[in-house]
Amino acid sequence: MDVMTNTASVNAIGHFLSDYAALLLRSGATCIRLEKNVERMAERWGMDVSMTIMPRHIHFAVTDSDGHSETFIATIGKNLISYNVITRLSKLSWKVADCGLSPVEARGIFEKIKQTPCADKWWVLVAASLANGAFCRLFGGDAMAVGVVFVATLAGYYLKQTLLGAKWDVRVTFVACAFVSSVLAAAGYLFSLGGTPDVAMATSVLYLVPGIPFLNAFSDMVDGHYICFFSRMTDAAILTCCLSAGLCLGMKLMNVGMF
Amino acid sequence: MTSAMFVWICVVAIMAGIILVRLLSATMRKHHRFVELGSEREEIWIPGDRPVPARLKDEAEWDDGCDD
Repeated sequence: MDVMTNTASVNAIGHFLSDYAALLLRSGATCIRLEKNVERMAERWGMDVSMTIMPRHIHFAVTDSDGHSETFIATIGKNLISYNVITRLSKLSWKVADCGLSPVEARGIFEKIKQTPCADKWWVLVAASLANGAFCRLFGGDAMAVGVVFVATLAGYYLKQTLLGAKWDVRVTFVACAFVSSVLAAAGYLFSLGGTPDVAMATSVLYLVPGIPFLNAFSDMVDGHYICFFSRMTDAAILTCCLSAGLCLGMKLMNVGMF
Repeated sequence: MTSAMFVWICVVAIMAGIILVRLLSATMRKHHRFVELGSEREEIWIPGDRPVPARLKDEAEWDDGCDD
């Protein structure tokens, strides 16, 4: 009976930790955060965890105090970046460690966190456009350039939401959105709007830069998770190339700049 | 017209078309038709006509008394 109870515990805890880890990585967390959160909870429940973090899967070996061990493999799935989910999952791990939540209670909270709704898309659209306009101002653009960048980002980000919602490939989406934004931002040259059309052109595609994958890649490199580092860096580099291709195409067709 | 201007106008037109199509399909989904052939009772109302209950507006069986 004790063996069966321990088996059930290892099984339940292992399943919970693998689901937890998959959601945490899917939401854009770094490998070191994943390791610390999972080890914190496992230690509280008297388990030992060994992990192998791969770009698309996580391998777990969960061992209890009697030496009984089980192995789990979790699929990470498609990325859906959410700092809100990461924060709540981290708080859950601290709650387990500090307040002694049982695996059943932790699972209940985890299921609620899984239902966290995404941010309102219209709010994100406006906020991203304002942020990109602020970037333009930061790089020395005048008021007219800021307005041009705001409109170009609004159109480009709306197109991005539409195409990704229609399940287009993300790389093709980046090329299309960068092209549209750069062409619209070329209105500064076409209609002689303001004194800094070059700044408007350059900053119109900044909203597409994959900042989170780059930052996470460097974090993984610092912590020695080289497989994840190479994977995330490759993803980020490919998206940056697609962004650049769209921008260059737009600049070429609008007879602007470096060609 | 330069080629740059032509490309710019095309991109603006395509984006405007996408936005318009999504707006129309969103309004159609909510059963508020952007363009429709309304009933005579809704287009021409004379004091004394019976009001059309909202729940019956979409039903074909609504008898507006025009055939009397």
